[in-house]
Amino acid sequence: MIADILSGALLIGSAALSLAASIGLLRFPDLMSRLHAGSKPQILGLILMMLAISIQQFHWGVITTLLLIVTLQMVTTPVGTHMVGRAGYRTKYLRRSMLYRDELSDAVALAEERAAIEHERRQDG
Amino acid sequence: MTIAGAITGLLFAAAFYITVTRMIKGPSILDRMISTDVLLATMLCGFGGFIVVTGRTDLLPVMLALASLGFAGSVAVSRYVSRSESRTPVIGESRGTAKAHEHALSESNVPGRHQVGPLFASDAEAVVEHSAAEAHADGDVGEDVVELHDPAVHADESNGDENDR
Repeated sequence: MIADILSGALLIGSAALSLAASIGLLRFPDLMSRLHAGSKPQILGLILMMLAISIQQFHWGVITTLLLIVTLQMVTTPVGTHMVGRAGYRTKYLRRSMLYRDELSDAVALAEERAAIEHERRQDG
Repeated sequence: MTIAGAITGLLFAAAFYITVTRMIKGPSILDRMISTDVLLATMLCGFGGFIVVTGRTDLLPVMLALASLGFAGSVAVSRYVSRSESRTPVIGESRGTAKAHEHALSESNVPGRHQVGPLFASDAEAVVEHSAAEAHADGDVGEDVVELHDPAVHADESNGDENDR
C-alpha cells in the first residue's frame, strides 16, 4: 500500500519534470539556453522513474538493469548536448546579443591561430 | 495507482505535444535535434511509467537500447553542421546566391538594427577573421560555380584540436 503510494508519487514527479523540460524547451529564447532546459530535468526524471520501478519490482536483475540504464543515459546525454552546443557556437546559430560573457572565444581564437601556423609550416616544409 | 497512471499519462502526452511544437517551430536544425533528444528521454520515462503501472518487466531491454543509442542522431547531425565556409554546396549554385542566402539567414539581417558593424568587441575580431578567411578563399575570381568538396578531406585545417575527428 505504502509502496503503491510512494511509486505513484515518484511517477507523477518524473512526468512533471519531463513536462518542465519541454516547457523550458519551448519558452527559452536561444539555442544555448534550450540545451540546458532540454537535458537537465530529464536526468532527474529518469532517476525518479527508476526509483519508482525498483520499489514495485524488487529483484536484483531489474535493479541492475535500471542502474545500467541510468548510467548510460548520464554518459550519453552530455556528449550529445556538447556536440550540439559546439556546432551551434561555431556557426551562425549563435546569437551574440543574448550572451553576457563569452569565455570560449579566446580559446577558439588561440586554436585557430595555432592551426594557421601549423598549416603554414606544413606548406613551407 | 490507476489515478497516478492516468495523471502521468496526461503529463507525458502534454510534454510530447510541447516538444513537437518546438520541433516544428525551431528556426534551426539544431533546435530540432535537441527536441528529438528530449522526445527520446521522455519516451524512456514513459516506458518506465508503463512498467510501473502494468507490472511487466519485459520492456527493460527496450529502455536500455533507447538510453544507449538515442544520442547518435544529434551527434551525427551536429557533425555535419560545421562552418559555413566548408559547407557542401548544391551543384550549380553560384557563390553570389549562396552568400545572399547566408546573409538572409544571419543575425545581422535584423530589420530594426541601426548600428553598422559588430555590436561587441569579440564580434569585431570575428568579423576581421571572417573577412581574412574569405579573402583567402576568394582566390580565383571569376569562377561562378562552386565545386563540391568533401569536408572530411579539409577537416584537419578547420579545427584546432585533433579530438574532433
